[in-house]
Amino acid sequence: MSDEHAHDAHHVNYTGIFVLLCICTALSIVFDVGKPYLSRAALLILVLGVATTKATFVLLYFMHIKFETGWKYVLLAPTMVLACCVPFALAPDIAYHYYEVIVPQSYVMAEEHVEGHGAAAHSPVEHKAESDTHGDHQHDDKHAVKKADDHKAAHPTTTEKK
Amino acid sequence: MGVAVPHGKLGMWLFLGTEIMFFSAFIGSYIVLRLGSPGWPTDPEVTHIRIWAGGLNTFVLILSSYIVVLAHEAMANRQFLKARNFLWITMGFACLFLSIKSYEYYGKFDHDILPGRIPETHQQACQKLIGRLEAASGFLALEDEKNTLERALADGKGGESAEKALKAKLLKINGDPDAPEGTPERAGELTRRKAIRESYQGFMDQVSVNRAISAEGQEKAEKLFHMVEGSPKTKDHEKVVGKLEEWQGKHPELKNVQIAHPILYGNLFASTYFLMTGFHALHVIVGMILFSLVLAKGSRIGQNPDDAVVLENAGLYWHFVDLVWIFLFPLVYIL
Repeated sequence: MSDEHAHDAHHVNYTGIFVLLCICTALSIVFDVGKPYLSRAALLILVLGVATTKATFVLLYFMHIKFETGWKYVLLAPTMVLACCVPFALAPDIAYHYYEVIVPQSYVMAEEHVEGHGAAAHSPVEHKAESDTHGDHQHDDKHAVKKADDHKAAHPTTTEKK
Repeated sequence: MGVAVPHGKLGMWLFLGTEIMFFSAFIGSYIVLRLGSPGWPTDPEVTHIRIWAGGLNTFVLILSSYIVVLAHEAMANRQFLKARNFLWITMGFACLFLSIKSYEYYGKFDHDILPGRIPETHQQACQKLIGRLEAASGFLALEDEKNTLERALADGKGGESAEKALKAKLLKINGDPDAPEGTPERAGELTRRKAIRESYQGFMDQVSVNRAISAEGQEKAEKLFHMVEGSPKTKDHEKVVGKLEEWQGKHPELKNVQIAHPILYGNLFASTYFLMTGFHALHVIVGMILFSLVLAKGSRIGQNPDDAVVLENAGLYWHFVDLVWIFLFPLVYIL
């Protein structure tokens, strides 16, 4: 929202913006429903694209950034740069490391892999490399979900008992 | 010479600048951690993430943002009563948002999807089950009670009547040697509880899922990371599930014990989920407090020109809360 002058000078069709935001939210749900037919990368782009569009409309029209003067750049530009620092600083060691991470969770992945596909066929290292080549962990997720489904079929989880 | 913007508004924007960094640190860390954790839980049946709840909350926040804009517009047009009504509607939507969030949190607490409480390996799932079985059997608690009673009896405080009461309690726990053979009174509560405990203890001690990875095995896995011999742990976990049903059939005390399934990176998921959504919910509450400052004026709303400034700044804050949720919804609920 802006000061009185800006408010008077720029008439905004708020109802139109609201309808647009609702359509965007509905689109996100549609993408969620269509998850099985979309690749991980496509889902990521579509869903985050919709979110960015929504955020832009809220920022520009509901928060009246569009009608503010140059101070908005002075204030928001450094903020946005600093906001990116944490993920960029953490990513090399936590998200994209060149080395194999051995944590208890890796053993579970290895066990499930061995029991699911046979030890000789693929090593977990190869399995991880495959996932990374595809740029996502969908394979791992599907496998985990399948295991979970098999498990649930035999024995209801705590969730289903409730 | 200065910036052509009211001080209050500039202050609010500066504050929102810090808020952007605050939330982007959380969201950025979440993305980085998730990218570095293959096998991150995404199945809604495992995570108890409800897309309908997230979608509904998104709609509620967008609608409330729209209503706030209308309230500000009404205030600018000197339609103060209308502005006040719009603010009450916004407060209603804020309450609805928090109610839906509470429902979601209730589900997480109910199913123990909490940071530090989720087993991530079969061994941890087994240990959690053992903890639940131990609590349900009540043997250790009863043994503690017995020791306390015996100490109190040895102290001899409280006179004859207290001693009599302590002895009666101990008799119930230890069993009555004068009772007919084969009756529960003769065996006592402690023996009965011990039998429950023994029914599962031997099996759980032997089952491979309850054993930590040996140093040799770990070294081998670290070197090869192939696990060429395979692992019987998953199969053993299935056996434990079958056994639990058997024990529950024998001992009603164990009826409510639920099996614990490992969820890979479940604790990290729970930590980031509660951190992000929890702080967002706190911001919703703060937004409600800001609106209350305007609503507290009652029918005098708008008489003071500052009311419009407070409403404008509260509105900016509210839109920011909406903005954060716009990103949390796809990141936590959809992807």
